Amino acid sequence: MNRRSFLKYSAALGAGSLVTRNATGSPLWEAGAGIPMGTMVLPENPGFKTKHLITVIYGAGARKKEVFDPAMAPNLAKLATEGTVFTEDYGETANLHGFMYTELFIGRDAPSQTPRFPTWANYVRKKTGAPASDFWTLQGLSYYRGWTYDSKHFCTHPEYGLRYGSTSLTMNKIFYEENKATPREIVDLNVEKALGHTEKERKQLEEFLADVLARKSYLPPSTKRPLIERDVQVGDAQIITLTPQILKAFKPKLIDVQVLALDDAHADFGYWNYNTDFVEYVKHIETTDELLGKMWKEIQADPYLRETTSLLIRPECGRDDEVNIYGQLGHSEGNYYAHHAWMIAVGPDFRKGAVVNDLVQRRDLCPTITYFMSGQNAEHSTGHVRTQLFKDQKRFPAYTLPTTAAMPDPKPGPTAEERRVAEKVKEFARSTVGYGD
Amino acid sequence: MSRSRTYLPAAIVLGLVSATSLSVSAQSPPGESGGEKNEKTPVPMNRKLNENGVLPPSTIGDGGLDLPPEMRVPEQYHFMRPDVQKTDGEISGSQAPPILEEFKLLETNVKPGQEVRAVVRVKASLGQPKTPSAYFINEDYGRRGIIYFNFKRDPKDPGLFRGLGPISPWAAAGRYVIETIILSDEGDNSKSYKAEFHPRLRDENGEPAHFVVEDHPNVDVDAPVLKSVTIEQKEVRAGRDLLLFSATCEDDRSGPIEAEAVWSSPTERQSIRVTMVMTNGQTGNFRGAVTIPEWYEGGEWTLMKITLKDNAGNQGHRFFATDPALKGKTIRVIPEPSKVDLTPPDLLAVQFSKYEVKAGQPVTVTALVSDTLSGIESVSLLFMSESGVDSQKVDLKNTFVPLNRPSKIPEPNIWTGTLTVKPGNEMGNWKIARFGISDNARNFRTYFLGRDKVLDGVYVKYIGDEKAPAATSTEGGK
Repeated sequence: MNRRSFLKYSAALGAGSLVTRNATGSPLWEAGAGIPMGTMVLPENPGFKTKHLITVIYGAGARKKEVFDPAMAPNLAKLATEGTVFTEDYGETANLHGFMYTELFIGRDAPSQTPRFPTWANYVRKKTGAPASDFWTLQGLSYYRGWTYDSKHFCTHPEYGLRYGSTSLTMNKIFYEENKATPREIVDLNVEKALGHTEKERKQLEEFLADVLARKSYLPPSTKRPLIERDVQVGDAQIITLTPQILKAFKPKLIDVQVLALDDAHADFGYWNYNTDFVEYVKHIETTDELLGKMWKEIQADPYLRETTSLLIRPECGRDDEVNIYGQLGHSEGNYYAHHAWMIAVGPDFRKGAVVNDLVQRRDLCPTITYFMSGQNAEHSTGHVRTQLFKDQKRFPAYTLPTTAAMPDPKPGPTAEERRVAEKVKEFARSTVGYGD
Repeated sequence: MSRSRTYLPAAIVLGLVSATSLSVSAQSPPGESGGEKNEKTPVPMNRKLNENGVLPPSTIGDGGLDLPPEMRVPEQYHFMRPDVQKTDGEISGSQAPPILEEFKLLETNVKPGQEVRAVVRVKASLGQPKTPSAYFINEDYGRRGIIYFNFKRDPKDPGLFRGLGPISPWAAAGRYVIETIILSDEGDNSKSYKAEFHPRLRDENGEPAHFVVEDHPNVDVDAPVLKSVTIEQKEVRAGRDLLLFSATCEDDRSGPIEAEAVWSSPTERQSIRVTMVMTNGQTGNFRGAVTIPEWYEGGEWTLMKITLKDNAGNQGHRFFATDPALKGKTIRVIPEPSKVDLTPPDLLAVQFSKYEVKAGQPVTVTALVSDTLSGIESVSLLFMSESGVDSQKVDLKNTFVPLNRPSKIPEPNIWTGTLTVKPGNEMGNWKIARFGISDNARNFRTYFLGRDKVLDGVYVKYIGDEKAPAATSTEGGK
């Protein structure tokens, strides 16, 4: 029995005296005991200054050796010096983007593209009671290279579901020449009613889109490294361009930005008429770096947003150690740079100029954002909160690496009786949540 | 086309056109264009709204499989804006993917050491379906608990395949759910199906196809642990000395069985994989030896990774940055300065032997290449149809055909290969989409159509053959 199983079973059993369970087997925590997250207990009411958080999933796969290279990505290199950088941000798997994206969002192993457990946006929305327009998920495309990206703004968990989802906009469903829909129709066709936007919020969405369309403000600004004129790259540029506009218009708590075109480092596997390679990847890194730099500069130029907005950037995985003989850079199991990705965090609550070289885990992002933006825990996640990020380190417990399959654990496994009980809990969870518990 | 023109819905901005008058959904059958939730909102591109009343994610809502060819957008074009997507009807040849008609598991509970049987029925759009591949993952252990199925075609029924999933004696106990089944056909069309979006991979309760491995005491899901690494020298000469090193590992149950090391050059531009061999039986002690090629750069090389595998198939990757046993494991490589080759070879010209051929007829491609130091090691190209829907990879060879004339000497710069487009593939101009060339120092260069001028204007026109088979699928393609 390995450490991961031990913790899974422990979680299923409600390990520790603090934990009880509700009807669906989800853990409930007793008040006054701090905020437990895995083996960590965090202070209640952390009182962060950040009111708005932008999380850029810098995907699909980017190596740290490119994004930390000032010659290639000067803006990210600068951001890194202004915030906290994690240099060994580990992911157990290094392929299958759809699953890795979901794992990042929900903070646990994910054998599905549609989240079956809550994403950080779902957690924060439920725990803060904030309205639907406080949460956004942006992606350039609906579908790319076998994976679906516009199905990650809500989960199918019965305690969460669509009613705690976020406002999802997919650029290639909206901004195309033949789209004759009115702004109101765009809202109706793209924003699920069950997300629970009030009529006033839907009207605001409509007006926002009308303004964006009228001003053509979805068009990316020009960049020194010209944007590659393919739909994937254009979609990435559009979501980065729209982010500060959404931030200013709605002042949302969370904006999640799903960048996709870096997978053009090896895009032709099974993809017709779409031969790309490492060179295209580098070009897009350079362009995206510039766009992210402009985005952050625009936010920093606003006195209010400067004091209240934070930015996290992390890919769902890195990429291979070597470019293959076809000039392409894949992302495969067993490659150091593919498993060991990176993260940059900038904002009023994050340490400045800090470099964390210790191992951290991909699944941390969900509980970290949940705690950061709601002061609560992500009860279904198996990641931990990255307290190395925060200023005033003394207030927070030391980060501990969560257990995973790749991290062997010397602890003994559960007893046969504990496993039997755990199986019963899992069976019950399956009957309500579906598979993949 | 300018970007503003491309992405601007001008009618909206100008307010000139009512959405209803332009909507294609006016011709949609009742109930297929939005249902009750959006009665007043026209649905573009004849899409069906999903259960949440909004446009579905591409390829999920309809999967494309039930649409006629003139409406069906192949998966590969779904990343594009709807207004520029191509449909099957616009591409010649047969493009519809194979259809998964049935998937059934014959066992639901098995013991370690047993096998799970599966039955798959596939309908190909062109020719016969090829042998499928599928794997299941353990719900608790993810892809660390993985079982692959091997399929064989039924001799009496070309669309029926019977599969066996062997359960190892160390397999993790618990429930295994299907991850993916990949289907392909003789027309090189393929599609991967996942239970999440395809009901034929689910049972009557909506659960994904699954089986359960009974609990047992021999579960082994952990890879071997690296205990120590020894490098026998402090420095080696490139092209001359054998770099010798060893690793010791431990495994909790099934025992270590394989080890592979990766050495990386100072700039990380070059790396070398080294197969390690176990010494003195099942000891967990592995030894490796490699000579850094004379063409490679010198300096401080790092033992970047050791991959360890055990008898149960568990594989663990131990990296220099995080595994204490690999910390500081480097060696100094003394280069041979006059031989260090960091320059990739060049493609000078490439041509086809014919301008126009019928499908099925071979065409020779000849490339003129050059390299300065280590010499050409491999040449390959990707030959692609006009729309990109069909392609084939071709490895070129440098072959010396002697002639009874002293003037005929080997030509290391001439590489040739043969291309044959199959009947049923797309007709029209086939081009070289990608041309790859590498030298013996493993420097490589890749040329791309549209980016590198040397490939401009090089094509063969394929013309249809009356005997070419027509597509048979009614679900799509032509």
